[in-house]
Amino acid sequence: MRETAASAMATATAGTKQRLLKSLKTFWKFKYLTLLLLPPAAVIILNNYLPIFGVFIAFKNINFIDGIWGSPWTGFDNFKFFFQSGSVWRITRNTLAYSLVFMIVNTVLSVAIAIAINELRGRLWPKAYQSFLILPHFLSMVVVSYLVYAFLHPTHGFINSTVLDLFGKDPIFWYTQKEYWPYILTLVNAWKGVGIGAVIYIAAIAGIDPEYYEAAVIDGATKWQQTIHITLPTIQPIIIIFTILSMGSVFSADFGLFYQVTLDSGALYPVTDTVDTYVYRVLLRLNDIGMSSAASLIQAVLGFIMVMVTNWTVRRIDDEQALF
Amino acid sequence: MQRRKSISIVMSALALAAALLLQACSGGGGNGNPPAATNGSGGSSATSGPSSDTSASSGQELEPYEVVITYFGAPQEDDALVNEELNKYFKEKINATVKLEPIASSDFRQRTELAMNTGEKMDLIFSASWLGFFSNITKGAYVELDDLLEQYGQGIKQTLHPLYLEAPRMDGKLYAIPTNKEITQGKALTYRKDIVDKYNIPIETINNMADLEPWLELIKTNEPDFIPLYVSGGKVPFLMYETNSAFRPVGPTPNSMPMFFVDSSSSDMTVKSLVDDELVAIDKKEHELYRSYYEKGYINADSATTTTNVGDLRKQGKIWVQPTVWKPGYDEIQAAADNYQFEYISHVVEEPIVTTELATGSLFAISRTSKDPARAMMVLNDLHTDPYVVNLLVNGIEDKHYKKVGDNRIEQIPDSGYGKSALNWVIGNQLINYLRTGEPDDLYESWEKFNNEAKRFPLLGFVFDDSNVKNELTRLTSVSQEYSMIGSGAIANPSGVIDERNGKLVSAGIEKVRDELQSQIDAWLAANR
Amino acid sequence: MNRSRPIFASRRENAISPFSDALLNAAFMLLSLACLLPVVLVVVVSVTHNSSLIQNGYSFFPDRLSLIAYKSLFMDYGTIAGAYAVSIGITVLGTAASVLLMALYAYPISRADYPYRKFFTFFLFFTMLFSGGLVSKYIIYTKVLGLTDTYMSLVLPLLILPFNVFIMRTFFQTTIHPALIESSRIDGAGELLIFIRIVLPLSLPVLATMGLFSTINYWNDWFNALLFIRSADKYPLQYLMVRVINDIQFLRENVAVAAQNPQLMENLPNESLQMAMAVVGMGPILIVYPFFQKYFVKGLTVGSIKG
Repeated sequence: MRETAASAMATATAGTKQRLLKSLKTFWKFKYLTLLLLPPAAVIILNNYLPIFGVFIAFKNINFIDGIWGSPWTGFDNFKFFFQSGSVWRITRNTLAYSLVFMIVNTVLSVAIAIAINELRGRLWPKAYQSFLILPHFLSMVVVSYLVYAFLHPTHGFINSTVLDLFGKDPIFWYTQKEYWPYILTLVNAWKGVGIGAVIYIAAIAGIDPEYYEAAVIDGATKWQQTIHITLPTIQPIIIIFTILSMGSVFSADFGLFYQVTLDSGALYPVTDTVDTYVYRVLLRLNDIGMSSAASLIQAVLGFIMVMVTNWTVRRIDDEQALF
Repeated sequence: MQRRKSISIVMSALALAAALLLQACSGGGGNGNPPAATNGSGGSSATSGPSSDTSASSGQELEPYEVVITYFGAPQEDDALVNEELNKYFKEKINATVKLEPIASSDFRQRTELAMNTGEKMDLIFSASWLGFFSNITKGAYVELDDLLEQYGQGIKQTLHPLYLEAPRMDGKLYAIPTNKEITQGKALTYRKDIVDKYNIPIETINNMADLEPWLELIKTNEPDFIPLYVSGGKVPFLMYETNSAFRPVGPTPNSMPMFFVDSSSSDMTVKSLVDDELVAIDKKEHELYRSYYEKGYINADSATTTTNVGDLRKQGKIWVQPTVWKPGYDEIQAAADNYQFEYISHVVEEPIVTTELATGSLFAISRTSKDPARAMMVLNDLHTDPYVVNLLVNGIEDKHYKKVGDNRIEQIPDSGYGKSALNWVIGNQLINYLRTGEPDDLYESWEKFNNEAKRFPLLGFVFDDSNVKNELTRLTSVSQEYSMIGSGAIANPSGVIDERNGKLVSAGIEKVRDELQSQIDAWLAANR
Repeated sequence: MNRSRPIFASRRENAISPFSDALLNAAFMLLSLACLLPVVLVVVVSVTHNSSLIQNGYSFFPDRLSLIAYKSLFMDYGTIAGAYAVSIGITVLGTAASVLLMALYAYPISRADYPYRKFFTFFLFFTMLFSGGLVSKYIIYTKVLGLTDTYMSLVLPLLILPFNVFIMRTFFQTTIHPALIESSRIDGAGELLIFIRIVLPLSLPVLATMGLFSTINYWNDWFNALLFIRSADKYPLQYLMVRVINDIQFLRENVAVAAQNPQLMENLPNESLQMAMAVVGMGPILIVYPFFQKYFVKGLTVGSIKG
């Protein structure tokens, strides 16, 4: 009896020892790769993990006397303002809907542009187009809001004074009519982001070995078939990664777009109010970092769940493509 | 599959555990925030035990100390030079040096809040009712000043109007020293003098927006270059309540919109809210008036969205009447600001009342993290009493940044590296500043008179504590923002929209806040009457 | 066909028809105009006289021109030049360090045979979503790392952009064939050598792309300067520009302050000045862009690697 117990123990310890040795061996085998990782990992720790203790601010009522360490815990009190706001449904729906629509629209357009640019026959023009298309990315949202205002000004805006005049229609007071804004915002967002988004895809397509195309031509493939069988599969991994990662920020929206470009017009809130603009506006004067921290935490947790779900779904289809 | 899932879970758990661990271990050490002990509430016993007793004259008994002055103003090129001169002065007087920390307006709140949250050492720190002063007190940012004022601030006590010191208080304790300037402001309609003369407009009889109507029509017909009434944004039509009733705002103002009122003509301090009948009546009447003005074309068509500064339009000569915040000397200063193109004349529509809000529009407090509050108070005292030092900080060094053109008057040297930041209303005592171009000679005398004649708002010194109604306030803010355009006149059927809005205000909890406000006011009155 | 040196004869055969090409070109011209014209408008507004702006709004052909916006910006040329120098320095150093560090992280996690790759992927990904917030970042930077008023405080925060690391990882995964690595290993090369000699040169398009993104990121960052910089000579350019715009925003939102203290409204820059600032802030990036662009033009990749 004792012997078997002892030997069981012995085998158990031997087993653990063996596993330990094995993992040490693995570590040693890949030591150089791990070494490569260390400098950036150090930066990540400094920048992101050291400060992560701040997450608990969402659960406290901070006062300056006790500081962030000594202030009292308040459980989920800071989260209440968000859920009891009466606007929860609206801002969540808006944020989610816009994020998804923007993601789809911008990806489709960026990919289309990337493929098309690579097909152009000239040498100089494609470069020029590419440069022009990324220009909007460099304008800040404040400047964009001025430009949009120049378009939509009630009296001397371009649309009201020129276009509508042409068709003999009455001027529209854009900033108080909410039905147009989902389209306006999608358009502005696409205009600003599609050019720079295409850059990655262009770079990817640039890396495709031309021999693949040669072979396809020899096999008699049409342009369309080449696109589907060679180009798209190459950039597919990028699109997938991009989608998975974007899911993480699906509960936040570009603050500048929804706040500056809409001129923060109250009449438009039903369709333009998002989690970020809402939190910013109501917390502006309350200066309560517990509450703003709570709001960020909600966005982060929800985003995290979305990513995990999306990643898991992708993994079921094709394990290689998933993020992890 | 199992392994990967568990890795994810382990990671998240690790991260959270680390966070909790860090917070548990470091107790008070982590962010260097000294527990209440040292500079806590009893400001008097504060500081350097050693020598710093009474008056600050002989600097030799005092240990050297650097007083950090954090104030509201854009950093300027010659800050270092001015800092040096200030040091020479203070070193001799109280063996102290100062460190100037100007912070630009848009950064101010962010930077100071971070500093307060992380326990950074500060001494004199600027604040104001519109910078969260009162909520900072509740969070423990400042030192109590009553004793310090007695000991080291006699100069302040002598120069500041007593009403001033009633305002920055919570629970009766003083937490900041207001800047000495005009203690309140009147509201006025300011007119282009040449237009008034041309049409003989009896501005003295125009006391509310309805009175303006015939003149708006006149201007619209005869002076097409002018905008009869320029409105921009406009949460609330100008002086809606004050010109039509005796109601004055009190308590919280979600989205900077007054929602609660008391009748200042009666001694009964019953709080009414926006949804109560009397206020609704005024609301609707005035909004309909503005709407009619809009439809008649008196108000600019882009009133709901325009962001053009009325000052720019005025300089272009397009504005003949403007609702303004008024203090003595305003007309002359305005004319100077517009390069003397036009002359202005104002008619005060609402007499100046000293409210807590207005009297705390510019303050200096002493931070809890100061290691020598007594020294900070001494510096502040000098800024209130010594013209040399306050002018040095506000205007710079003589002959380098400005030229003296009179006994008490200067002319600023353009692009000199200092003086562009408007610091006169921020620092110490504006009344002992040199007069600048455009300011009438008797400016300060008229301000003193103005201050002395100002009426005291019965609830001066009352501050609302919002901790029980935070959620309601955020909801009210949200509703107010959604309807913020009706004040522009650009929305049709304002009465209907007002009803809609008020319905939402009720569901947001406006009545609960009103009742809370009422009970706090009653308590305050009982304690202070 | 005016190609001087055809790369592959089959490429010409594979090209789209002249008709499709013309169509596509027309489409791109329209799109480019839609992108270019607004920027041109920004430049035009920056030289439009303010009174013309007030009278007529924005126009491509303003009544009155005026260079006063630029004059007032550059009047203080000492500060501007200094700010430019700071921005350029930070951007160049930051971008170089950033691209290198990101590649160093992206490569190991792209290797299918690396056992810890899921762990490190998650390690990085977690930081994309969860952050300790501003206050704790401030504490770490100022108290623990002591970086107040240093250039490092401007470089450090933006060194690793998780999103970009993952894009890089995907690139490595798809373009670096494992067989290539294997064969180099058999030839006796160490990991570092493989990385430097083989992986990096093959990844020029993605490195250039990431370089561009990092450059834009560093150039536009003003928030870190707001938090950490105290000395006037260390301010980067964008911070100075954005601060002015924020001041305007602040006064607009705090009408009470503006009303109480009209002097604050006096020196507010008008729109033409704001546009001038946008131009000044944007200019350098546009100049630098062509430098990056040549790396993601087609045909660059050496197609000589056979299976």
